[in-house]
Amino acid sequence: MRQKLSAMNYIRNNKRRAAVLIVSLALYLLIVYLTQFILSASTESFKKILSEDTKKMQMVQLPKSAYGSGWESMSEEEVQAAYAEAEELLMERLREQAGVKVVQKAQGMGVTIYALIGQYSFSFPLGDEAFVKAYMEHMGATLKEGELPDAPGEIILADGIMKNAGLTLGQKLSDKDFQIVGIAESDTYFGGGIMVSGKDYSQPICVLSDGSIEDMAALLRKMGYEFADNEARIYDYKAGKADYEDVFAEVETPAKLVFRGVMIVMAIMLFLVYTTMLRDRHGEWCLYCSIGYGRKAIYLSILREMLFYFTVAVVAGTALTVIGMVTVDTLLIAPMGLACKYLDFAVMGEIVCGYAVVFVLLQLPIRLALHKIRTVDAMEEELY
Amino acid sequence: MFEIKNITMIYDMEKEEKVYALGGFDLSLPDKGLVGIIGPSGSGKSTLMYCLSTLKTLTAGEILYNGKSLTGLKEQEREKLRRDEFGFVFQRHFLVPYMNSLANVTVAANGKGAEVNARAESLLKSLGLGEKELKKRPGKLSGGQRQRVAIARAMMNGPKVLFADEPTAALDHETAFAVMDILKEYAKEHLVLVITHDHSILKDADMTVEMWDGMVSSVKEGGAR
Repeated sequence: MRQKLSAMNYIRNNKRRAAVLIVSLALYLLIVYLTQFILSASTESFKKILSEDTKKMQMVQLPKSAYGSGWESMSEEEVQAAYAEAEELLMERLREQAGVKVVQKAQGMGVTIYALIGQYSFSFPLGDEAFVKAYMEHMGATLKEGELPDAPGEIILADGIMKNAGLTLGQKLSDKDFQIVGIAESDTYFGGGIMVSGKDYSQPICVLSDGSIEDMAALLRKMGYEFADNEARIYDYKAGKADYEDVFAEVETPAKLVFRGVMIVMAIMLFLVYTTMLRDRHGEWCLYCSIGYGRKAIYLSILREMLFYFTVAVVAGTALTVIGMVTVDTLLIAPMGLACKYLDFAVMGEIVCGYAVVFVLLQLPIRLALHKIRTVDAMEEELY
Repeated sequence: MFEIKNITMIYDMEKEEKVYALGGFDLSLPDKGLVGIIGPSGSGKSTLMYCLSTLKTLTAGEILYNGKSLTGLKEQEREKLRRDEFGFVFQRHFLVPYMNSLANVTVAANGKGAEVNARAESLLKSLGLGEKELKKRPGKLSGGQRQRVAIARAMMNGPKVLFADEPTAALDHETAFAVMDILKEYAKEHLVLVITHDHSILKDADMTVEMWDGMVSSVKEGGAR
């Protein structure tokens, strides 16, 4: 049985050159995946707010025109009374809708989540004590530290919001109208509390539902309320999803640029390095061909070498990437209360495609080098 | 072992002025022994070796190897013949620069593992290389040592025919005779074809073929004088 041309002979004796190829391939994996990981701190965190929370909780504030006409002829007091009455009626009707569990007037309290790249502001509802308990139960939040709010202005926030905003238990917010009395254990950016009366805070209708109401505007129109999209303030899954897609697109475009840029730089670098390596091995392959190894055997040995480079690069790159992700998570993402995504199959596919492009590109100098192989007799003739 | 029948080798077939490297002659070579092919530069001795070893294809005529014609063999069959039955010591030894002496010998081995390494080591040592030289790359070896490594590589699979093209060209006289002693020893059981223009190294040859202008000018039993 003929010994195959060993791929390891070259690798063992040309460690620096092999290292250049392996490090380049491993760096590609590290840079692309780590970039995705850092960006995922934005997309995953915002996804919690925009997709997960909005499936269970919706906020609605319709314009006066949605409740009928004749508002111009009323006095200010009459408008307020008629508007409150119309909203009460809407709340009654909403409670009758399938999937709706709780409907209550609530103040919206704004909060901003800062990611490593970008930020997003949203509101959580403040109601009475019973509402806070119902809301916590509905969102799957539990008291982790402190106590549940039971007085106007007392609020409870999820651990993630506390970390992200650098807040502490007992801290007062917004001109001292609000105070954090509890920290909640929650998978999302949960926030709730007792509303403050007598202040001019907006009070939308808050709907707690079972997740089946994705498009609140469509439901309201079905119930007979007519309004333009830009006049109503509706915060539901459809709006959240659209916002999320905008955020995702903003993050995805630079990410794609990074991925493509790194791939092009890597491909050019590997092409140049590999072409030089192949040129230096011309004499070696001519010898192999002379002593009885065909071009196919030589090509297979080159493929085995490449398989080794790619395998070691993937293993080393994966190890470095995992270390990088854990470090970034520990030092940056977790302290900011942000979410992140360790496993991203789309980016893995992107990396596999990148490797495939490089592999195909390197076939060009390989084919050229194989074509140039001569047996020793031809080399001697060229010499003289 | 080789029956050569009226062989012709023409270079530049497509050109008007053709170059006749081999001009049509017959020759018979034995199964074993040291055969010297001698002649001045351009006499066609290297071309003859390349044709015998299947590296080149004849323009006309026929070479029989153990009764089988080499003409019309497929590329894969020629490669297999070179791998399994022929060994080569080239004029420029063509050692792989990044491999040490041992790896340069095992690269041609039929088989793998400890057995192959042991045989390569034994061959190199029997050719006079020390333990230290086994781990050295060609760049760190003298001309004579490199030639010995090339000979060890050629002998690795115990080929039936060993082709040596000017094996002593780059060596001093003492080393040249030492190399020829090694080839002479191998020729006791195998056929060794030595191409040279140096008469002195063929004094112990079993047969000497003299070439001139692409033709065999004389065939003598015994060494050249």
